[in-house]
Order: sequence, then C-alpha cells, then structure tokens
Amino acid sequence: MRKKYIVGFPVLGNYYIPIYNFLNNIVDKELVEVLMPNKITDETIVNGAKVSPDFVCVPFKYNMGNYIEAIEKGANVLIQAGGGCRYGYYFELQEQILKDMGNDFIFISFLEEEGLNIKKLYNKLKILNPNLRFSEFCYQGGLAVSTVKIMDDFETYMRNNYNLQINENEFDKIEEEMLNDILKINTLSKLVKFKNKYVKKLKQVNLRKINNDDIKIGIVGELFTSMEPFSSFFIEKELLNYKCIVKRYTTVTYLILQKGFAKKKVMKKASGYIDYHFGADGPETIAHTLELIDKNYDGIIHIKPFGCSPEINAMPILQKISREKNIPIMYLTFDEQTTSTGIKTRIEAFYDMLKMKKDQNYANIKEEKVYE
Amino acid sequence: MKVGLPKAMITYEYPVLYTRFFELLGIEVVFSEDTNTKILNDGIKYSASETCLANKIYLGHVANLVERKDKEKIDYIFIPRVAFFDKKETVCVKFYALYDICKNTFDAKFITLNVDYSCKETEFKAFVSLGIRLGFKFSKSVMAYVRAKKAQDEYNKKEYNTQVKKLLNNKNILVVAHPYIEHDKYIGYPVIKYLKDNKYNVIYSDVNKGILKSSDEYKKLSKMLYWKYNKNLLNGIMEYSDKVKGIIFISTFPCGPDAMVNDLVIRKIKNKPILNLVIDEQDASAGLYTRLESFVDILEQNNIVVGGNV
Repeated sequence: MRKKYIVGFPVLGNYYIPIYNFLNNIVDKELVEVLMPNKITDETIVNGAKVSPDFVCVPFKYNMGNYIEAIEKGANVLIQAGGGCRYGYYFELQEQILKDMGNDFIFISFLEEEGLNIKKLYNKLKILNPNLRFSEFCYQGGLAVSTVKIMDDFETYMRNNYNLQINENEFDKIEEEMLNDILKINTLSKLVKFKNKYVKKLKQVNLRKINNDDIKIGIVGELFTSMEPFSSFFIEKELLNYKCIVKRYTTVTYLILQKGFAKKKVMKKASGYIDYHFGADGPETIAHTLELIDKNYDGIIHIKPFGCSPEINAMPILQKISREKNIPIMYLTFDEQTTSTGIKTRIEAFYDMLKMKKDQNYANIKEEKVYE
Repeated sequence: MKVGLPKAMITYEYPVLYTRFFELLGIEVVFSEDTNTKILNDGIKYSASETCLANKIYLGHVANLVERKDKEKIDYIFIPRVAFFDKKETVCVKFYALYDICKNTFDAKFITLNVDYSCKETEFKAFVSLGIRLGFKFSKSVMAYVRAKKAQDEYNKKEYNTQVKKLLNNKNILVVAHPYIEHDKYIGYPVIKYLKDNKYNVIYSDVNKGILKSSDEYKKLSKMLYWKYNKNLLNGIMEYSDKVKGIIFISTFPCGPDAMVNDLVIRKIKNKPILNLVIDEQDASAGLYTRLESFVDILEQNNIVVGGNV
C-alpha cells in the first residue's frame, strides 16, 4: 500500500540528491514517501511548456514539467524552494496552474512573502513528520547545507581540472560514486568521513599543469541555466570535449552562503561600468566577467533563459566591456526548444575563433621576438 | 539650466512629480517627442534584441534627447533609478538598470536619483540629494520635493475623481496596463483610440494610486505579489471590475512581471470577457484590429452567457 503523503520536488542539476537526502532524513517514514525525481528529458520540458505562460522564464517551464511527472508518479505534496527575482512568484502561479489542471495536492513553499523564515518552514514541514523536533530540523538543515557546500567544492574542483587529468574519465567515476554516497549521509560524522574519503580520492588523480596554449573559457550568467546542464544543452560537457578549461561561478553554495557577503565586493569590482545593483545576478555577471578578463581568460560565454531581465540588463554593459577590453563574449539564450544542433554549431565556431585568435597572438609574439 | 525627460516608462508613473520638482527649482524641462517610427527604430538599434518593447522605446526616447541636446542646449538627461519601496515592495528590474544602461550606451550627461528603501535611500532623501547635486540649497530642495509630491497627489486624486464620474456610463471597458503602455502613442494608443471610436468608455485600472481606502485588495487575486506597479493594477481591477463589461490586458513582449501576473489574474477572473493583448515591435496592425473587433462583437451580444451561469 502507498504511504499517505508522497513528496515530489523539481530538479536542479545534481542538487536534487542532497535535497532528497534532507527530506528523507526529516520525514516520518511510516507516513511519507519521498520520490526520487526523474532526470530531465525532452518530454519534461515539452509537457512543462505546454501549460506555462508563453514568455515566462524557462526554469518555470522545467519546474512545471517536473511537477507533472511527479504527480503522474502519485505525488500529493509538492515543494518549491525558489526565491528572489521572478522565482519568488513561481509558487503562486504554479499552484494555480496545477490546480486548474485538476490535481489535488499540498504545495509547500520554502519561502514566505517576506523571505526565508526558519520557524515557519519548520511548521510547514511538520505535516510530513508530526514528531519532528525543531533541534532535529535545524540539525538536518545545517547538514544539508554543509553537504551542498562540500559537493559544490568537489564539483568545482573537478570542473576546473577536468581537462588536466592525465588518465581520462577518472573524475567521472569519482563523481558517480560521490553522488551515490551522498544518499547515505545522515549525521555530521558521516559527512566528515565522506569529505575525507573524497578529498583523498581527488588528490590521487594525477593532473598536468596548465599550458599556455590551453583555451580558457568562463561561463557567466543566470543561475538555472548555469546549474541545470540539460537546460543549456550540456554546454559545459560540450566545451570540455574541446579540451577547454572551463570556469563557472554560480553554484548553490555561492547563492545561499556567499552572495550576500560578496555584494559590496561585486559592486566595487563592477563600479567602472555600473553605479547601482540591477537585480538578481546581473551585477555579478559583470564583476565575474571583469575578473575572468583579469585572469587572462580567452573567451566568455554568457547564458540566460529567454526573457531574463537582469541578464538582459547586463548585456549592453557586457557588449561595451567586450569592445573596450577586446575579449570575445558569446551570448546564448535558452528556451523550450529541444534540439541542440544550433548551440553545438555556435560553440564549435566560438572555439575555433578563440583558437585562431590565440594562435595568431602566439605567432605575432614569436615573430616580434625574431624580428628583435 | 535645462533638463531632458524621456517620455516613456518611469516618467508616466509619476507624470507630475518629476516635472514639478524641476520647475519649482527653476529648471526648464524638455520632453522627448511622442513615440514615432524613428524613436522606435532607434530604440531597437540601441537595445539588446530581447529587451522588452517598453524598454526599447525608452532607449529610443533617450536617443531622441541625446540628438537634440547640443542644438537645444539640454544640460542633463534625467533618468531616475527606482528599486525598492516601503514594505519590501519592488518594481521590475528593468527600472533598476535604466540609468546604468543609458550611461553605458550613450555619450551624454545623465543625472539620476536613487529610490532604494533596502539601502535606506528614501524618496525624500533621493530628491533632496538630487537638488543639492544640482547646486540648490537644502531647504529649497526640501520645499520643492514637498510641493511636487503634493501636486502629484492632487493630480492622482483629480484623475481618480474624473474616472469615477465616468463610471456612470454603461459602456465601460477596463484597460489593465501600465501607464507607460496605455498612454504610449505606439503601444496603447491605437487600442484606446479604437475603443473610443466605438463609443466605449475606457476605464484605466492604474488610476487609483494612494486613493483607495484599502491598498491590500490585490491580495484577493494574488497573495505573493511584490511588484508595486502590478499591485496597483490589481487594486484597480478589484475596484472597477464589477462596473465594466469587459477587461483588456495590454502588455509588451516580453514583459517579465506581466507575463506571470496577468496569467494568474486571467485564471482567477471567471465572470468577465477578457482580451489579452501582447504587443511587440512588428508594425502591422491588422491582427490587432481583428482581435479588438471580435472582442467588441462579443461584448455587444448582450445575452451572452459568461462563466456558465444562466
């Protein structure tokens, strides 16, 4: 027999694993079953887009697809954790649309009208476990955040060094194993053990040094398309296939733990171009672009969903930076379309261009030396 | 001194406040021209292609002022930056960035004022510091702001009273759109004109600022809403909707807040005929008129059953 409550939630990159683990740790297992969400497929976005408003940003459509899939699997409790920018408004509209479709469910939003309120969230989640103690809830919440932090650290390390591996695919194996291990974490000591194990494993991977002729590309832009690989047609994987060094700033850790403190620094970094903060991650995009230029990156890719206002605000300024600092920036916009050929062609062309530019520079420098 | 004001977006939200403030300080105010094809094309040229139409038009108006600035000796172009209001109300992020975008796109002198309650930059502080930056005394700036604010309030009240009088008519139609959309010569004007030509009495949902007894009426339609200008529109819907025959939503492509809020509201209003118009930069109007015509036809059939109740 099925449990009374079946919980479904949307997917964002690999973060669904720590979230699943968190929910699984706090709920009453007699009463509640937490569904492991499906990986996103073409069908998810097609179904999601069908019921969403036309020009809402694309994360909304992916979320809707996830909810529809969860409801098909029997979910009757749905969770939305987004906040800020337009994400804060998703909850209400999604609830209305799903109810209009004739579904019956409880919708839990992690955020209130005024922002995150731990006490209220605790009261909401009590429905999934009447005996949940507040201390336990806080403990598991802290544990989940720490898990995400450690997972992000590892994934960032692997992403930055992916093409420096001497033996191919070592990182892939470690990642797969790591994601499975996250599901076993339910106490702090297990988390520490987990961390130590993978720090050791990652250290054992042999890396080569960065050469001068490695192409370095930075990815900046909106958070969902940065973090959910399906929504950007696996752009990172694609770039890694070209043996590029890829860097990206946005992670959940950055958003929930560091962004607030970094705000002043970001505005200072971008102050040559902008005077005011213009919403969501727009100024961050500019500050990070300038930082990447300082670090001698060869090219920058700016990604966003269609209609993302903060990132569109950043575009005229990025164009100016691109002109003034002579750095190639490619702008990619993602919506509900499901073929990746166009993106692949553009990435290939961008890569070729960067390569030619680099070779040219290299040749010029050598020539000058000979001439001297 | 001469200050140029682009006649688009934020200027329409406060039609009296800004002009009055400058006039009281003895500064001459010059407006950009009404939206025309050149302004639209300039706007499209200067903005990123995915920007919403309202914002493109804004850039077109700024371009218009930039072109005229040498000939007409305009010292500054005034672009306010509005972000957060009291009680965590905010506006579309497009308004946050207007100043920075223009600064990076055009070569001209801009002045701004920054209303951002999250950084304790109140409207009062913003105006006073603007006055001081322009070289006026503190007391004079304060006076100018207070009187300009009062004039804006009186203007709002007057608008509201005339609108309420108009409600007695039985051919009312409610237009739900931001003021910078419904009064713009390119976006809203053709729609309004069509309705007026057909003897309809156009009621604007945004005319209610600071007048209504309760400003929380919007919560009946949307509880989580945090965009100030959309709240205002929803308050207007609650105020007027039972006195009108039909409702027309006008938004620009792709307006961020409207995309979601209008969708939600249309799902919730069940007893009125609704037309949802999204206008973009294509300038063929046949499609628009066909839709308006059929909507008006629906309204004309008096005995039509709306919402399923016979």
